[in-house]
Amino acid sequence: MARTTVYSERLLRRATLLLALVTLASGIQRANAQDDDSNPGGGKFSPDAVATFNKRCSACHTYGKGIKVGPDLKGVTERRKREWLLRFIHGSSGVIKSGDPTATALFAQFKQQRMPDWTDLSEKQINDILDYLAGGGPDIKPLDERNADLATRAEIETGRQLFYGQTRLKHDVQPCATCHSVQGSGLRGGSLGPNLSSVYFKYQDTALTSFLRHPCFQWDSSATSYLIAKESFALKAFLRQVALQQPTNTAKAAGRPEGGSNR
Amino acid sequence: MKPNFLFAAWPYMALALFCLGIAVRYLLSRKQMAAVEAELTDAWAVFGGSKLWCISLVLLLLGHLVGLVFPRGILLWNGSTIRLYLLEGFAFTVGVVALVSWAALMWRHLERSSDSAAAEFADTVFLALLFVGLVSGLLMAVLYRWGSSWGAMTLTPYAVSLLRANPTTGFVMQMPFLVRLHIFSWFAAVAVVPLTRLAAFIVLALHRCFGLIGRPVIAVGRAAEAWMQRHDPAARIWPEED
Repeated sequence: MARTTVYSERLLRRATLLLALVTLASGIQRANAQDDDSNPGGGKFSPDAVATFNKRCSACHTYGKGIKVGPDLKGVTERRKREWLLRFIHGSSGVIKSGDPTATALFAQFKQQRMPDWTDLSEKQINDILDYLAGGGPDIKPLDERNADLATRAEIETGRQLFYGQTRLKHDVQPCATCHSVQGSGLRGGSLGPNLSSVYFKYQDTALTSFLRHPCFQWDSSATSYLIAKESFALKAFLRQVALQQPTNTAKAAGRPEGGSNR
Repeated sequence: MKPNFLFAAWPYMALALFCLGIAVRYLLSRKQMAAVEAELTDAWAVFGGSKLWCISLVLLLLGHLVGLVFPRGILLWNGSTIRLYLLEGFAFTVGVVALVSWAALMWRHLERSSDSAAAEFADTVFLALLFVGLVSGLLMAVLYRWGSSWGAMTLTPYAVSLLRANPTTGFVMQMPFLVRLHIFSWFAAVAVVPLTRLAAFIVLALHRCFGLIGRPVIAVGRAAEAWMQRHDPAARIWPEED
């Protein structure tokens, strides 16, 4: 009886130790996973700058589409000095009154219509807008809209890790492999949802981008956070890579301009 | 039968049938608790089974309960592949043990004879529903891997919506047939319980609960009666009647 008790205690201790080791090992695996906190839009500008630009500037200015009420803002950060732009946006009437030749010329060119004085905008806010314009402005495509042909090897690898949950998705969304498999995923992929091996060529780049923006499941209807653009693009790139490895899809891809993964 | 009925109305109907059935059985047998106690022996003979049967059933119920109450905890645990394999492997083993124990129980159940054909029929239906639940659960584990993860994302919100009396059937309707069968069989088993011998356990437990709750009420009543006799408040309220 006593021997049985001792044996049970040993067994229990070993089981506890094993469980602790498993927990520790998976903790280390998690800690190694890289955190992704990039801009949701994928660019290097403040999201507020886009909102401010749309609210304050786009009514009178275009970006690369010619004169509207005021001048086209494409290339404005190259045409004018940053200091001058800061002063002019903050208080155009003051700059015109001071007799600044550029401001006076613009005033005359645009039928003496003066831009409102955006005195409520801070220097940082104006600089953010100018950075946004310098980086491409409204021409900037969200990162996830980039064609998956352009993905680098690192991005494809990130997509693979995100797919299998080896790297945590930013908003704690469950990895695709919970419900889906791809060719070569073995037991790691789930089998509730369809196999995604050929999904890239089935939907093509644009439709897949749009699809990845909508969550498969939501905890509640108010949940808005899903994949960030960088994750979405990496997953798309990984799915393209998997699709290319399918013999039937290789032929399909051969007819299209191949971007190559290192471009 | 429309899926909306199966997953929006049927769970509530099953629960209502359970409550109504138990209430009727309690009211019919509350004066004959000795007979109910005698019925327990029969119930144990039908449903008792081996220790493994009891343990596996309790573990399965607890596992489902944990998944429903702590879905985020389950998802966090499953975040590691090793832990996911461990959980799913353990749950599958428990399910297989429960199914084998169920077969042994059913074999014994078929061999024995009973006085009441109605109770026999109800017990068999209940055991059959348990079988459907177990087999569909095991097949789900094989055909639709990692149910502990996707279940926490889809079935838990459905269960929560049921508790909030605002069933969101969209989650369940998209599920494969086996998953829907698993859920339906569980509610059907709940609805059938009052007709089985298993209800004797619940009736007796209710009787004892009422007895325990009733004790303080009776004690207070008796204390009030004794106080009234000692102090006779009537004489103070209506002194002229003395």
